[in-house]
Amino acid sequence: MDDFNFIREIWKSDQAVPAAAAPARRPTVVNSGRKLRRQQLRGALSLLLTGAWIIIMGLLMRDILHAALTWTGLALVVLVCWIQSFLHFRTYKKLRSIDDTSKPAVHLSQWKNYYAFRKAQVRWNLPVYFVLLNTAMALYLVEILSGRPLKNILFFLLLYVGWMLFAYFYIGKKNLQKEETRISAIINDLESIEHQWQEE
Amino acid sequence: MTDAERSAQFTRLYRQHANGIFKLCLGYAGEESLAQDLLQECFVSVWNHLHQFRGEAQWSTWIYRIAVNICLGYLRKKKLPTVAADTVPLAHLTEEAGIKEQQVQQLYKCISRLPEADRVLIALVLEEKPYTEIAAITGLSENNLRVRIHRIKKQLTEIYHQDG
Repeated sequence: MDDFNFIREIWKSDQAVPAAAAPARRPTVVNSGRKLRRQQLRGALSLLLTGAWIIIMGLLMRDILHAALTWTGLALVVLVCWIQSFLHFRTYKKLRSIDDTSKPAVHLSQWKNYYAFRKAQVRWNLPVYFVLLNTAMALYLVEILSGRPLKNILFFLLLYVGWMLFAYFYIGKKNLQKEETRISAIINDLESIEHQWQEE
Repeated sequence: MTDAERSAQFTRLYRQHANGIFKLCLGYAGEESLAQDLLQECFVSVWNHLHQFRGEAQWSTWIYRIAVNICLGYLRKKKLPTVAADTVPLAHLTEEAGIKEQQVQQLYKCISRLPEADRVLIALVLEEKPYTEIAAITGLSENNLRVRIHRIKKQLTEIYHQDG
């Protein structure tokens, strides 16, 4: 028996049997397409509902809110939520278009395209989201804050602007960098496997 | 395909292929719990795509291709650990069974040291899939496969003997 046949016999002798039922613990393959799709769909639905909820709240407060600027601000917040929701839904559709039944080389390139799309998306999405949301909030706050004591307004604005700047320049940038590094690593891995998959 | 037919077909496919695919996943992942998860992912995908099967390939080719794609996709999360041969408790086994189990663990450890694509290919060879089917699963030409598999067999045998 040659050496490889010996290895084949070992493989055949393995009685490895999968568990009959689905495992009770959570799967560790966290980056599966299934999980990514679920995250995007959940994000899309929650932002859609947030927009609807803001509209309902606005309508309930229609006796208190009079200025057109306030309503413009609210409308912009709703629009931002729904744009984000649309983006999540688009990402979800992109994930759904990745076909597990295609040839491995095609499948790998579909994943690579998806991650290239995500990399571009995360780069422009955060600044645009930040600017639009804060513009909306600024419009909304004009009426809400008017007529209040100056020191209260200043205190509130200091807190709000401080938090926003911290969230954008520290948390946001850090997360963005982390996400970009993660996606780049994934793309590198995919390229490496793609390379292995090319004809010798 | 009605729901009942789909369900029956799925059960049939699971019974026929789950063991082979589990071994492919185990060869790829080198760890039983991960292989279990990959198998689960694979059959979820099979269930989701069952209605798309057009009969252009054999069921076995179709299902193994899904498994290969799921396995290759796992790398996106993190690099796979190489498995130490002594990670499985062997104390409860008889001496002969213990030796066999050790050899099996050793083999999985060796396979996990191959590049990702080679792990998949060698697992298919060890599952005794014919070259035509491996070519259909992987999308590689048969000629290319022959060259490549010859090299992988040699490499795996060397690794196995070095470790042994």
